[in-house]
Amino acid sequence: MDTKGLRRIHDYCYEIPVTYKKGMRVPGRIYATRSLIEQMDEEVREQTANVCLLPGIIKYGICMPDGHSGYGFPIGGVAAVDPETGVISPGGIGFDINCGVRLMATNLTFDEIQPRLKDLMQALFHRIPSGVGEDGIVKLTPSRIDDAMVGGAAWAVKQGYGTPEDLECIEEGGCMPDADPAAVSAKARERGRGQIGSLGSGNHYLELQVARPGDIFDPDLARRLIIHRENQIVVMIHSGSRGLGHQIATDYLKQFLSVMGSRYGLSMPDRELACAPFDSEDGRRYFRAMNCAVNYAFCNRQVLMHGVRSVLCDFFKKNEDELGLRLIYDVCHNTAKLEPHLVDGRERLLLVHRKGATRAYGPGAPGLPQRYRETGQPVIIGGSMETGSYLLVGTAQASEAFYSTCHGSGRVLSRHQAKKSFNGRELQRRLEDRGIYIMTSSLPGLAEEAGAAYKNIDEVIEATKRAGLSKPVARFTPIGTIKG
Amino acid sequence: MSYEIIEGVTRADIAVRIHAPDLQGLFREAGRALASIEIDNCESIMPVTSRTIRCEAAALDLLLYEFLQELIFIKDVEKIILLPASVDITEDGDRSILSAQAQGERIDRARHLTRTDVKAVTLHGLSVEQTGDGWVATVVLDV
Repeated sequence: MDTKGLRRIHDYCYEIPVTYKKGMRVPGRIYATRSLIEQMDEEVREQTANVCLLPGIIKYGICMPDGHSGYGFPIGGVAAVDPETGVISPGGIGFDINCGVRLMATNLTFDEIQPRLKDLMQALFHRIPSGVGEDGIVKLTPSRIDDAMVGGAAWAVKQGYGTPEDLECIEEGGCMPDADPAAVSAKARERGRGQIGSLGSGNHYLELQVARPGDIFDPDLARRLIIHRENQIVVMIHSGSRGLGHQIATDYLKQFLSVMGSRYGLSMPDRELACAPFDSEDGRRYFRAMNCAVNYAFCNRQVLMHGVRSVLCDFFKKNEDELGLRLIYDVCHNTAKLEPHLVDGRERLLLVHRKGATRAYGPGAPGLPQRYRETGQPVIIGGSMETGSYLLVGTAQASEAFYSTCHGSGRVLSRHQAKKSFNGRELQRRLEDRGIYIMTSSLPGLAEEAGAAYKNIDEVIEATKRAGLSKPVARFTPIGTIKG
Repeated sequence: MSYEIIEGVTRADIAVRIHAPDLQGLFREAGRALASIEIDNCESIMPVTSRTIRCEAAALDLLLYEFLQELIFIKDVEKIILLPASVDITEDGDRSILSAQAQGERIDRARHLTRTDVKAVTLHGLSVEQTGDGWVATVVLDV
């Protein structure tokens, strides 16, 4: 994107003036360096400006350092909306509701795992469902799916997939309260009931990573976030609400499109920004259905992690405590949530849309578990399978972005460009030569996820840090990846 | 091939432009484009089973949205990838009504080179238009 026309707030924040487009209610703000903005596509400007058209938007329409074009909102888009006067938009959340990342610690080290890495990855690939058309670990009857949509990760734990200690290390405790299965269509249930405990495809993955000594930026914080051994192995899981969430978003997008003009007198320049007043029957109903998908996704990642724990215990013939298999945290990056925020010195309840953006509460925030009250919320940022991923914590300064931060490295090449540029098989061999062992059900899909298809994760994290959105704790290098 | 992947619309997802001499052919090719994003070698999909798809909408672009959404639904629930064989579109007042026969089979990783799940059809830039020499559609698929 050309930075011409953007107003520099500081070296890590640029503003799209409110005069850029007719109807903008607030300015747009892009948190990134000039270099990162230049790597974003031109559509990001347009889509961020469109976010600023939303009725009820507060302060700014925001784009994160990893931003790139999507549909409706840009990926990396954040909008805080007054729930009394503003709207909710499925296009500000995405089809994969509560797509997110979780990070589990182990007390294994690289030296312990490396000689048997291939066998371990094959065991994981064999038992963790991934790719197009794969069923999940759990298959539910139509009535049982209601329990999962209401209970989230807590339901999974009740069924034996994990322990109660896991729940306190999940955003929102792994369960959003305002979830009503009556707001979810039969089609959505049908799509979701066989998929709990499956990774899916695209950019979803399960990865073994190593925390090298030179990549620990804050040893004290790292220790409190259970990164305490030299060359410690961690497990990262990236997945979402699968077909259930996709269908809920599809159903309500269509519904909002049909009523937004006739019932509410609203119009938006992009149909993907179809919306309804939050405080309306349509808005509230979508919110309750969306929360069902949020809970389903928590449940999905919980069951996936349990599957990984089982494989590791079987493989090493040790129990979970002996292997130190503790959940560090689980974050969402496609949601809308009601949260208290300070606006011009006054606390207000706001509906914060985050699409490809992570909530990042600073130290002392009331929504944090006791364990992380002093450190700030752990923030998990997944990079490409070739480069690395990060663990950060939230900061007080991120209040200006409604406690939001980036979610990944962000694409620089489209999937089609990446598929034309890289060969999946060659990429797999090249990575193996570098000590990264990849298992996939889709070599063409693998090519689309090549490291060069993404921005430099280190540059994104540096901008995130400099902008004050979060504080880096550790960087992880991938050693084994399962791509869907 | 009467569909192409188009650049400059979205980086994260896949934008497709489909051309056909007639409207029925446009919908058939759109279904084939969808299958080719999920299965890289979609010529390997055998007509083992068939499904009838019926949907309706207030406009042709929304009818295409509904049609592709049905194919995604069947893929998720039955694990069957379908290729449209015949498509019939009629008008009833201000509604467009589609009835299609689609054939295909369950995904078999031994033969089908799976690529990526399509999560949803988006409304971003969605269009169905008649041109001087036929019909053209643009669809962005969330993957």
